[in-house]
Amino acid sequence: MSATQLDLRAVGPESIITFPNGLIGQPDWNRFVLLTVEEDDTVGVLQSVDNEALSIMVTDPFLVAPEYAIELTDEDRSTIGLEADQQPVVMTTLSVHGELITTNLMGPLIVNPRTRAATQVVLGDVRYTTRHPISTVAPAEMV
Amino acid sequence: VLVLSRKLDQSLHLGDEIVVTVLGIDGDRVKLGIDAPRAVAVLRHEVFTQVQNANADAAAAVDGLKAKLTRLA
Repeated sequence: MSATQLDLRAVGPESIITFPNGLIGQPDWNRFVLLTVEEDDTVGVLQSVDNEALSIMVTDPFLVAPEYAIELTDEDRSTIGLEADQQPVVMTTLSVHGELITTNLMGPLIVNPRTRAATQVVLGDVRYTTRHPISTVAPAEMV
Repeated sequence: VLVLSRKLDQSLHLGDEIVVTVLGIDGDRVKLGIDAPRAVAVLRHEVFTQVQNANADAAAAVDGLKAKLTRLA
């Protein structure tokens, strides 16, 4: 069963991830459910519950870049109601450019695991680009 | 587009809560001070566009990625 064939109406509101402000440049991308992809627990699919045609594949950036570090501002934390001692769930979007799969380390998605409120932040660190390659060594292995 | 001229140290208000001040002018570089509520995201246009494009790319890439991942299985 592919992710988009799931019956979204069957998914309870408690598991909906809400971006109150949408994503950057996409203010109406607000509500998603996180679906897992069979056979691969390193990626997930954010499926919009408002627009069936909208889905985004995401991964755990710490798998891609073990040294990855994000600094959240107080405002980022308050946007998603994250307590000072609470760790967010961090995921980054995947896209594909030719044979290269890349992930957006510059603009990670930050989720409050308790409330599932989420926001997209922009990191100032110049090492993190929107197209960080995740399969430079052996793209053939991804195929 | 509304076009306004401002001199060094002059400001303009965007609504009630946002004030933009010209703090410095050095050749073709203008230094702006932005006083805005913390909830207002302030991003350089290039950065905003880059992340916006990356989001659009990600939404467009899912089918291609699924195909790649399916071949993994």
